[in-house]
Amino acid sequence: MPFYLGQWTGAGTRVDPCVPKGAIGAWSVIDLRADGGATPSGGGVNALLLHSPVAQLDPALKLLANAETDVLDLAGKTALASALGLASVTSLTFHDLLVDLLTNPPAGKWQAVAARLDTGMVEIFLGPVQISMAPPAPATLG
Amino acid sequence: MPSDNFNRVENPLASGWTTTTGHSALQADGANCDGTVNSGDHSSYWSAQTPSGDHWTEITWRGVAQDSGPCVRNQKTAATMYNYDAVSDVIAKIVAGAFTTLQSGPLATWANNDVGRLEIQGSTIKLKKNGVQVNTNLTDTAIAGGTWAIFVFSTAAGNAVDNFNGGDFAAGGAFPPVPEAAILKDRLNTLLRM
Repeated sequence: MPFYLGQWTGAGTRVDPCVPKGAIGAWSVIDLRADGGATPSGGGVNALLLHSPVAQLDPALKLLANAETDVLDLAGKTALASALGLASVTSLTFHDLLVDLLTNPPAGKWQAVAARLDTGMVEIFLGPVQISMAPPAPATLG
Repeated sequence: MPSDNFNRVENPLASGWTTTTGHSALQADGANCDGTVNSGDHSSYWSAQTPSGDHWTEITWRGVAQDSGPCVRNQKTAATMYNYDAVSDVIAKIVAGAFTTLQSGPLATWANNDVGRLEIQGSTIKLKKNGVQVNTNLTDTAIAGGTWAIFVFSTAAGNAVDNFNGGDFAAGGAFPPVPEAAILKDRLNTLLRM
């Protein structure tokens, strides 16, 4: 169940929508563009996290982890920091990365996950990853 | 909660609906809801009421010749929404007119009279076919609020939707109100005849 770092390609039209560059088959993504997708290039951050049930072989997709609990290696952290415009990534595992990026995003980047109105919980899903937690106290990544 | 069976002739679609900025108008053709411009993106949002950000839109397909489907968090000032396209079989978002695919298929195949429902709570998107979820939960954070809507591409024959229902999770709208109301009405009529 691999997880990848990628970037968007496509014109953003109905016949040529933005899709993960190099991805084939079934997949789902978390969009980390700074403008939420208003432009294909993302308004300064053109990045996504992708899950696919099968291995993706295109070099445009950087393998970060094979499982939610996998520890991120230095190459993965370096690629993430570069793609996201961060000084560094300190998350230990891929699970931690999802929580860090989506509950306390850096200022001026993508939006944090919103809490459900019925439970007050925030949720993060990517393929088999299912995270449900109370909203953390505000903070920002470097 | 809103509902519409489109059993009237109305072009452009009105009676609670407003055409989405930047898209072509939908119409009620006497039985269903369909497009008005060939090779055009059509969408209208329910403007008579405003739900919380956590809501769902449900439609019944009357043909799936081209992309069409339910939308949530449709914005009133720009072509911005989450939607499901039945032919492309993808969950997508449109932000200020720009299309992005968030989840690719195969998710489901659709036939006449199948009911599709798109839900969003917090930042979690779910797609249901005839009441059964068919996608893995999907996270997106781009669109924070909005209202119920319908999307139809083109005017191809046999490309229409029907029986719109909208629900609001914050208002306890976890279940479609119209069937429940119909059941209660039937039971009341039965009692009155006794």
